[in-house]
Amino acid sequence: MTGAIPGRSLPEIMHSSWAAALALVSALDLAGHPVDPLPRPGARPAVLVFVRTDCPIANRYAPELRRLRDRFARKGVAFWLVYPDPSETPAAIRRHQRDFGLGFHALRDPQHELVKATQATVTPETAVFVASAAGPRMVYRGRIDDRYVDFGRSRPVPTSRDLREVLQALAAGSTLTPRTTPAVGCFIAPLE
Amino acid sequence: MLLVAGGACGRARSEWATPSLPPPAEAVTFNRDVAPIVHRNCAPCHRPGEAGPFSLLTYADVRKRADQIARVTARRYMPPWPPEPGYGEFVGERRLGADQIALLQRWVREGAPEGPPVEAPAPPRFTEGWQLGPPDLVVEMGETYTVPAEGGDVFRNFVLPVPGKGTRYVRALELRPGDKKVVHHANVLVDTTGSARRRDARDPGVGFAGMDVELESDRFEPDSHFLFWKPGTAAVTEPPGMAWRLDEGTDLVLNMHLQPTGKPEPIRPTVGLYFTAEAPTKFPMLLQLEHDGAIDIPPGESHFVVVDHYDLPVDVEVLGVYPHAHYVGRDVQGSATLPDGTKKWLIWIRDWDFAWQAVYRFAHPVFLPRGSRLEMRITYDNSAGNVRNPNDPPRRVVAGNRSTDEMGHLWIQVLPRQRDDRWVLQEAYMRRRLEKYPGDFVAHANLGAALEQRGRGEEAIAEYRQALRARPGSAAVLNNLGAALQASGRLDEAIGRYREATRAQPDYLNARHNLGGALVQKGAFAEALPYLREAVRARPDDATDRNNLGGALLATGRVDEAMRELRRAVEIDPDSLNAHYNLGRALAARGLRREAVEQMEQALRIAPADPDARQALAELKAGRAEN
Repeated sequence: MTGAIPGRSLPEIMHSSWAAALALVSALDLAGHPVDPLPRPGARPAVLVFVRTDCPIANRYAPELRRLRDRFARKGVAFWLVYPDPSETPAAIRRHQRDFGLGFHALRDPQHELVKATQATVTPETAVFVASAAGPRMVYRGRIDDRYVDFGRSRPVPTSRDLREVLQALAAGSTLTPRTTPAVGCFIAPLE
Repeated sequence: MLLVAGGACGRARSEWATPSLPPPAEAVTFNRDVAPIVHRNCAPCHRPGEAGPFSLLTYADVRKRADQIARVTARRYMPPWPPEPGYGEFVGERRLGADQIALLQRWVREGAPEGPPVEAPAPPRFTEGWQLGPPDLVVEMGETYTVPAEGGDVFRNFVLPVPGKGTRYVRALELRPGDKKVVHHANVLVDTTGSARRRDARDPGVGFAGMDVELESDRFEPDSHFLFWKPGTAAVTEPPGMAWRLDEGTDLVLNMHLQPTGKPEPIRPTVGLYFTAEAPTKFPMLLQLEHDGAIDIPPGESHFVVVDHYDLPVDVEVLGVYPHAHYVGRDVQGSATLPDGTKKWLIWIRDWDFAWQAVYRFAHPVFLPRGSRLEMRITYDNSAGNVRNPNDPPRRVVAGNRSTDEMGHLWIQVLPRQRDDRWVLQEAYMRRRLEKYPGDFVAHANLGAALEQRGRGEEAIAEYRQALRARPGSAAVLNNLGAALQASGRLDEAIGRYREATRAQPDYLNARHNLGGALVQKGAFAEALPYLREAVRARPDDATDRNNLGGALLATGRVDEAMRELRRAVEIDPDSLNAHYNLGRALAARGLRREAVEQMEQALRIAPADPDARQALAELKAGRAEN
């Protein structure tokens, strides 16, 4: 991916945390190529799922993430796993994806460009972007569901399946008011 | 005796000592200040191969998690140590002081510096593999069980037969549960009656489901020991003199709490046993405070209290406690009120978390004099405000074995001064149980056994009869009743009960053997023979069984066969009066008088006043004189 992406304007970014970053140059696929997962105008919505290879809470969501992708990828939603820890190698990530059956597109975010664009703080945390003329618009950031209430405090089953509801609304063509929910999990460490 | 077997978040308290931080001018560093705390309190689990999801060994490991470490230690989620400080002093306490927590906060706030390399501490050293060295016997699960990728926590029980002959004494048991990220905790139960094996056979798949297991048992040992595993605890070696007996044919039952990780996880636990030649000299007992019958919690009720108590009939030392409740339990208290009215705390967990349940062993045994009252108080929150509530919306919760049911138990391991004091404890224990559950089968049956042990046969017989009213076909109680009747001289009635027991459970060996013995006593030797032969087949090294068989063979004229059995009996137990006497008679019947005299002399060496042996010897000598 090269050059500026049409339709994005600097002021939008500077004034609203809901907007995404400028042209992304530092998120990398596992082969080391820069990839911009955020939807351009006319492109389908995208879900970023921040994960780590060793985060137990994130890992326990693997089956739910698979279900969500199986259901919504068909409806035109792109799913991306984002590994924000620069020390997690492509080989370790491939192994993690294989172990947990997470055959999604995977990205590394060694410069935390996606972390900053979404202001994600933990794994697992998700961000949902839709395309707009003004650039990618984040309509949701937060937990997958409310099963985890805090460290060591979890519900047997979730009472609010937030990500699923957002994706259902998108699939139904509804206009979404951007919102966030608190996510519980492993802190994303700031870059040195 | 029936035994039920079955990890919590600490809450910051205000009474902590004033933090003693380095002076503000001096920087807090990893190498000097943080590493010692992390290595001692975190690294035992947070290292490769252990239960912690990531390692906390190096500066890089800890730096990367610094914010999270600050957060979870401040909330006392980590290290996990649920008991309140000051309400019981336990072995292996893993709890940060307020000064240590403040130091971690300050280190993170100041940018988590590493500090001069010269101050770097040596990395912590841990024993790899078996913590207690190579075991004397390793018992592995025959099959692999796979924990599903997701869903609620899994509660599964696995039966591991222990190979080997004879009785052994176990001074330590170490469990290697398989992947420690999957196994949250495990209890090891010792099944001497095959009851778990029979249960397993009825349940498809590897092992059988259930949060708690009930096993049948006919003795105190080895059920009186806590055999418990959770991540990060050192393997326990029993105190000197407190090894537990492992009989041939015993099964170990692993009662495991397993957590799905997001992918299927095969596990195959292994148990290492460490033996000792020294038979135990100290005999503890487990007492369970509970009142599950009172657990009936309306939906929405946020403060439902269940209490129980037990008045100690003898002096004891309390060695450990194991509190157990499920997800609606919120606050667990155990204490003792001494005869002078003083209250002594055993444990207080203010924020009960099923996931962190554990056995707590006292750093110093807690002495409680006779007349002390042990007390349990458990508070339940069945409101929607309890996020762990397994029911959404909340529903009525009663006692049961599933994760949506509740329990409220406080197991207390006590060591009385004398071995036989356990029967006194048991009698009081079962009488208390009858107060809670009038007519209860288990209580009447166990009370009967305790009374019989204490030499109160008639009372025992009455209790057994009460037990049979509650459960008429109980082979175990019919057998015990038979034995009590036989001991009181009511032989025909005893034979009747034994017969009923063998009809109720045809493969019940104890009842068959007892029936054989009673028939011998009655003189019905021919009828007794098949039962006696069975007994010898089942327990080839039991001198009593051999002697019974030999005696019956002799009485029915099978002298050669009798002699073989009786020779074996005196070989196994050279101090068996009856075996020597019977062998003497058999030898005499074959005309081997010199050897017969030797056997009668042996019998009289054991029991110089035994009239039968004296008479037999006299006759033998007279016979020789005649010749």
